[in-house]
Amino acid sequence: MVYVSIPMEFILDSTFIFFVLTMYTNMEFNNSFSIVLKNIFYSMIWGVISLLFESFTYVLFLMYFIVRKALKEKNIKFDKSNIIIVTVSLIVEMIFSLLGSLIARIIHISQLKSLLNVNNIEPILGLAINTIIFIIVLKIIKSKKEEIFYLKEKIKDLKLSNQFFWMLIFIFISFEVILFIDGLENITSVMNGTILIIFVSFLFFMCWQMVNLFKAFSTNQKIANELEQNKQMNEYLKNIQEQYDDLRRFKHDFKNIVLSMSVGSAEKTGKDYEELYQELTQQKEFTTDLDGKIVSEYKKISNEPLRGLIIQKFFKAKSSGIRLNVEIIDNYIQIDNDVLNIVRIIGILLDNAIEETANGLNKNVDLAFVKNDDILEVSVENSLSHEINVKDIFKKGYSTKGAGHGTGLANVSELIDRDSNLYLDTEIVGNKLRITLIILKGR
Amino acid sequence: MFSVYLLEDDDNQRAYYREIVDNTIMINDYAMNVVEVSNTESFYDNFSKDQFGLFFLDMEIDGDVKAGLKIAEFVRNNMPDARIVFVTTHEEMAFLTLERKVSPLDYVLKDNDSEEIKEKITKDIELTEQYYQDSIYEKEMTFGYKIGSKYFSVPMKELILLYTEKETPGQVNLESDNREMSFPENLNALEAKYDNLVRVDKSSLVNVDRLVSYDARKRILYLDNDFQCSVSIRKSSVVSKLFK
Repeated sequence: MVYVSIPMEFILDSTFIFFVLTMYTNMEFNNSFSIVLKNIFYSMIWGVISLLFESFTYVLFLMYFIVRKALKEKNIKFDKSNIIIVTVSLIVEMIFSLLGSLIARIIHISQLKSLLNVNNIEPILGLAINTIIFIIVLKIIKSKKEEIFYLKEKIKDLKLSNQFFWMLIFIFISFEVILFIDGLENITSVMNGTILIIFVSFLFFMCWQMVNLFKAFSTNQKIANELEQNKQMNEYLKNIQEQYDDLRRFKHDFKNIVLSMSVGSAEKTGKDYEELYQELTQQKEFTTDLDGKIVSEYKKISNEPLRGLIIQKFFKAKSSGIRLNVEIIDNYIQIDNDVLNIVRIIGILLDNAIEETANGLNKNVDLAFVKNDDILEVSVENSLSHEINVKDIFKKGYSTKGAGHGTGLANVSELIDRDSNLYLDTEIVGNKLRITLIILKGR
Repeated sequence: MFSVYLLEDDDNQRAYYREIVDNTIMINDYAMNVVEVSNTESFYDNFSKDQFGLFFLDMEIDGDVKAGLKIAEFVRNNMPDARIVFVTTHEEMAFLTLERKVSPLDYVLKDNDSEEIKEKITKDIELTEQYYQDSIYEKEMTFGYKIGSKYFSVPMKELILLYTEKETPGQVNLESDNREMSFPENLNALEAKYDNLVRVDKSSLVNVDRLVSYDARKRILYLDNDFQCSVSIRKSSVVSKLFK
């Protein structure tokens, strides 16, 4: 690199860090003015640090973020999504500044030296170009908010965070090494330039491959989901068919009984009618509820994922000989925020209830959606088999986390803790266990 | 002294229930008066916002299947301690929903035979009188809290421990004999509100009537149902004194 004076270096490094921080906070959607001020302040500090540590500054910068996150979560396996964003911003900014100085060098060599008499024209020009590229990219980030958010969620869902993290760290370190080498005397600018160009093009190639891999991964997931849905759809159709057959037989018997009532009615005595009445009312079709009720009730739920879950659990219960009784008195139920989390929790509660009921005598699980002004309650109730000591469910040492009696409730506690609008009410009513998820609407 | 309300649109049935209620009151010499109502408007006219009452409500009034529920919600909001009994034919009733919304005392299914109906109504009146004597008359304490606009309560004698966790600031966790729940509140406010709750440490508030023993060395306080909590140095002597 061209030798620059200390104030110049300070400006260069502070703006570098400022660009990185701004890109980072924008991708995290923190846009307030106070954040901008904070970024400026931090950039200045890091600018000073860079005067001491020069090339190592950026490594320190990244390490600072990593250590801070690990300490916050008190765990080695911390959530890497933020760090990924920081690293991406760092790498991207490094490319920009390299581009900037490269273009500056080209322009410099060709024309402007004669026009302007400033000594340090090249770094200033580099910075200017860097700034231009930065502003363009910032605009792109702001306009593609949704795609970025979607991408972040996808990475988390597909559990690729770790791989991404290590890949980015590797790229970053490689970059740093190349830049560091540049300072050594034996490396000419041609050699370095070549290495850099090769490296950056290799980087783009790798990114392109990653995108393809990503797409293939997502498609796989989609196919797996569809298969699952098809399986459920088939089960559902099979059920409908069985019901139809039952009803057809009932209709046939019913017709016969009614006909036999009309035959020779003069001779029929009260006793005969009584017999026929008994015959009718003994029929299973007469006494049991139609499974179809679930079909009409579930329409009241406006969130598709929740609807799908309820139907899935209904048939899952049915295959274990358990009746999932769904109660929805209000005409429509809608969850506005955090739908997937809530669906997950309800899924765990239902799985729990179905599992416990499979062992007991009373093969019923009740699920109710109760709407009050600002609260939606989702209650799951099941009978407890005698083996379970009622008090055991609530017994726990003050220090242990959650009631993880192998019933998956520990996961529910974790999910509830994360959201301040969710509360859990666990009651023993008679010999039944009732767990209610309370959703507070709005903020 | 409290009122027993009968809401039923069918005159014959209402007369039948009236007879059962009158007999039960007479035989046991209870201090209750009966209010008979045949439709929802006259219910609101006759409703008196007392502290306590027993309500036998038909679910379907004049063709409206939700009438009984609406009345029940109204009663619950205006008389939190009311005892509500649903009298109904509907088999496909949403029992769990009713429990969460209204917490009824009982359900009487009209399709059952008259002997069963009579037994249930009689039992419900007896239970209500018992509860009235034990709780309302003796003014037993309840621990009440809210989530949003919904009010919850736990009898104070069942409450064991209230605590907070640092992962969930602004939330208090409750442990009682039959219930475990969390709600938005802070321990300072609760400590100030209830005399019988003692703050033993920054994150624990205990019911003095549910203590078992105290290990002063480890500073661990043992409570009923195998609950325990740590005690701060400052409060250690206070807790020890509770056992003297």
